[in-house]
Amino acid sequence: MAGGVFSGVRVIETTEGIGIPFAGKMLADLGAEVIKVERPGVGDKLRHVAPFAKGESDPEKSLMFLYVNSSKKSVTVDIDSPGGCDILRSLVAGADIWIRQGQPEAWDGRGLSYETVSSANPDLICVSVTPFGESGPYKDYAATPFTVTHMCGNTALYPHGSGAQHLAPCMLGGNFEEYDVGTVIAIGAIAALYWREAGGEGQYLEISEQEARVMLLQNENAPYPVFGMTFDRQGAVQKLQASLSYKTKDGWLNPFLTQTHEFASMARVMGKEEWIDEPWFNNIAERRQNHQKIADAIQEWADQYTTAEAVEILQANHIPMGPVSTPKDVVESEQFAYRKFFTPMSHPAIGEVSYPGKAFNMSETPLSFAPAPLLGADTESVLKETLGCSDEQIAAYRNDNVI
Amino acid sequence: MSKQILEGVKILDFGAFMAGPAAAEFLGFLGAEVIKVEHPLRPDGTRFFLTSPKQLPPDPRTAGSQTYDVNNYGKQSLALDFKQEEGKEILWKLIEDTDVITQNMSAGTMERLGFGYEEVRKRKPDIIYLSSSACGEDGPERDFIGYAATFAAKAGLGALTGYEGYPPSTFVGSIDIRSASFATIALLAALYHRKKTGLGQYIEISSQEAIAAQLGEFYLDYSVNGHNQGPMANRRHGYAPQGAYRVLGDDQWATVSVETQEQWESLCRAIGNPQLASDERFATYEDRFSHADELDEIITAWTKDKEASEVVEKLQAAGVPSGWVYNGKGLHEDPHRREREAWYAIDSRDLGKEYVMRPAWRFEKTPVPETTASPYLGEHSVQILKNRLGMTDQEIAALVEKRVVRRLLDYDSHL
Repeated sequence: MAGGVFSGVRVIETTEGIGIPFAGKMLADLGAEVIKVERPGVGDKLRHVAPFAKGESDPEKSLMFLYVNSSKKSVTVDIDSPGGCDILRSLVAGADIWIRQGQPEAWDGRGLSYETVSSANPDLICVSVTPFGESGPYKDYAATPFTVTHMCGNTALYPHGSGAQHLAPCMLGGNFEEYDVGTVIAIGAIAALYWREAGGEGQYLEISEQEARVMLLQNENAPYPVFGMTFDRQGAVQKLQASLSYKTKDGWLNPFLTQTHEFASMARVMGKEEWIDEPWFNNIAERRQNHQKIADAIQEWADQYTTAEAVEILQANHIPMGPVSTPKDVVESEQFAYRKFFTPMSHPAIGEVSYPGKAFNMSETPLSFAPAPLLGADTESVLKETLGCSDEQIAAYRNDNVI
Repeated sequence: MSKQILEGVKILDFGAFMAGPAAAEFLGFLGAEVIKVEHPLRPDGTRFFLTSPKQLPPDPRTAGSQTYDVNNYGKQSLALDFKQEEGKEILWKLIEDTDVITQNMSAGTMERLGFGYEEVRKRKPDIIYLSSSACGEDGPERDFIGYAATFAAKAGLGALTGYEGYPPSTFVGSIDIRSASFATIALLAALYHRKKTGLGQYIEISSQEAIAAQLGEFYLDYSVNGHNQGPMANRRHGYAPQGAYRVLGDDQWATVSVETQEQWESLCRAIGNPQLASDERFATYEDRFSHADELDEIITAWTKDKEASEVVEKLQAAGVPSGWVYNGKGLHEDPHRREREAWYAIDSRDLGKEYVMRPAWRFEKTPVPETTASPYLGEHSVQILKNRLGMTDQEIAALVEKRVVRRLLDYDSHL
C-alpha cells in the first residue's frame, strides 16, 4: 500500500500453510506488493483448515488464512501446466523477491530453476525454503511443521512444570512455533533487499525450516555440548523457586520469583512477615530447600482471590507474577486495546473483524493491515497490468484451466 | 561491494537480559559492528547467571555465563557510566557516528539520563532507535513486573500449551527471543528506509505483543466465534493422526503427522495394519480427528517396542511424515545437522569451546561468517576510546579513577 517502507517492492509467493506465508505477510504489512500464487479452485491448503468464521467451512472464511495473508494479492495459476509455468516465470522476472517452497529439483522441472530466473532478472532475491534444507541425509524426508518442530530441541521441555512429564512432550500452544520460521525468513529477505539497495545484487537464499526455528532456541540447547546438560519437562528450577503455576478462584497465576526482595514482598503480602528476618529465608540454598512451605503459603493466599484481584495486589507490590491469560483475556485486555494491538478490518466474506497482530511500532513506516485476498481475486488485474496480457490471452488461459 | 550485508552499520546496544541483546546480536551476525554498553559496576545481569551446577559461579567480569554468551556473540564491550558527565560526553561523541541504538531499560530511564530518542535525534537526526519493553512503553501495564515467562502467559500461550486438566505450562528463557526476531525485522526495515530516504525513526516493541503476534488466529477465533481455545497438546486442525508416541528408552518419543489420505493409507500399511485404511471410524480426516484417542492407542501399540530410529525409518520409507523428539543432546548429535554444519565451535576462554547455531540465512553471495566469543566486561573500552575518540592512555586512566570507564585490565576492581 502507498507509503509503506517496502512500497514499490514486488514479492511473488508460492508458499502454503502458516509459517512461510507469514514472512510474506510481514513484507505486505510493511507495504510490499505481495502476489500470492495459488492453485485454481483450491488455493492455499490453509484455506481449508478450521477454525472458520462462524464455523462455516469455506475457503474464504478460514481464520488462520485471514491472519497470515493480510495485505496480499491472490492470483490463481496452475503451475503444473506449461502455461502456468510461463505465467509464473513472467511474474518472477518482474519481481524483487520470490519466496518459494520445495526442493530446487522440483522447480528445475518447471523451467523455473534459479539459473533461469536469475538470468532473466539478476536483481531477483530468490528465497528457497524446505523443511530440512537442500543437502543432508534428511533433505527429502516427508515432513510437516509438527515433525520438524519436535526435532529442534525445545519440545522436550513442554509442557513445563505442569506435572505432565509422564505424557508426551508437546509443541508450544497454538501454532506458535510455525511463526518462528516466518520471522526468520522475513529477516533474511529484508537483509538481502537492503544489500541490493546498498549497491549489491540479487541472490539466492536457502533456508532450512529446522535451522530457522533453532535460531530462536539457542538458550536451552547451548548447554549440552559444553556441560552435558539437558532440560526436561519437570520444571525443577521453577519448583525450587516456588514458581510453578498457582490456582486462583477463576484461573491461574504465572510466577517467576528469583530474588530475595521479591520473596520478601510476597511474604508481606500473604501475612508471613515473620519469615523475612529468618536466616533460612535469606539464604538461597535454604530457601530453595523450603520451596514447598513457600509454595503452600502462596497457594493458600491465591485461593482467596480471582486472578484479576491477585494480579492487582501482586503488581502493586512489585512481585513478578502475572495471569495465565486465555485468548479471551487478550481480546478484552485494556493494555492491548490501549496499544491498538487490534485494528478494525472489513473482509468481504467474513465481515467486520478486530484484526490482531501489530507486533511493533515504527514512527515513520508503521505496519498497516489490509484484508487477506479472496481466492484469485487479483488474477485478471495482475495479468493485465503487471504482465501486460491481452483480454484474448486471459480468455485462452481460462479456457485451458491455466488460471 | 562488501560481502557482509550490514558492513559499516554501527550499533550501540544498551540491552540487558535476553530479548534486547539478541536483536543487536542478529544484526551483528549480518555484519554490523555492535558495541554493547554496560555499566562498569552493574553490567548485564545475565553475566551473573549460573548455567550449570557443574560450572563454578560465573565471574561476571568475564563471559562465563552461557546465558550471557548466547545472546552476545560477536560484540564489543564498552563499560561506561553515562550517568556521570564525562560518560555523557563520551556517549554523545560515539552517537555522532552511530546508526542504530537498541535499549530495553525500564520505561523513562534513557530519557532521564538524557539519551531518549527525542534528545538523540536532535544531535543525530537519522538515528534508528529501538526501545523494547515487557508490555509496552505506555498504557496501564507499562510498569508491569515480570520475566519472559510472565509475558508469554499474558499473551495466552500458557492457556494454549499442553494438556487439559493439568496446571498450565510455564516457559523457559528462549520464549523472549521472539521479541528479538520481530525487532530485527523492524530494524532492517528501518535501515532499508534510511538507505532510500535518509530518514531514521523510532521503533518500539513489547514482548507480550511480539508473542501475541504469533497467536493471532486464536484471538480471531474468540472475537469472531466466541470460542476461547484451551490446550491442544499435539493435535492441530489439518493433521490426523498427529502425535508424539512412546518408543524404547526413557522419555523417548517419535512423531507421526498425517496430512493426506495417501499418507494415512501408507501409515496403515507401514504399521502392518492395512485393513485399518477401510475402517469406518478413520475413513476421512474428520473421522480421524474425532477419533484421535483411539488412533493414538493403535499407533502407540506399534511404536512402543521399537527404537525411535526404526519407527522413523519405516515410516519415512512409506512416505509418512515422522521424526525424532530431540532434547539438546539429540539436536547436537543429529547427523543431518552435522553434515550441514548447522552448528560450529568457537573458542571460549572460560568454557573451552562453545557451540553456536549457524544462522539459518544461507546467502549465496553474502554468506554469514562465523561469529566470535562474547566479550569480557570492558574488554574493548580502551580500543573504542582510543580509536574512535582519539583519547590517550592518561585520559582513559583518569576516567577509570572516577569509575566512568572500566577496562579489561581493571579486572581486580570490585563490581
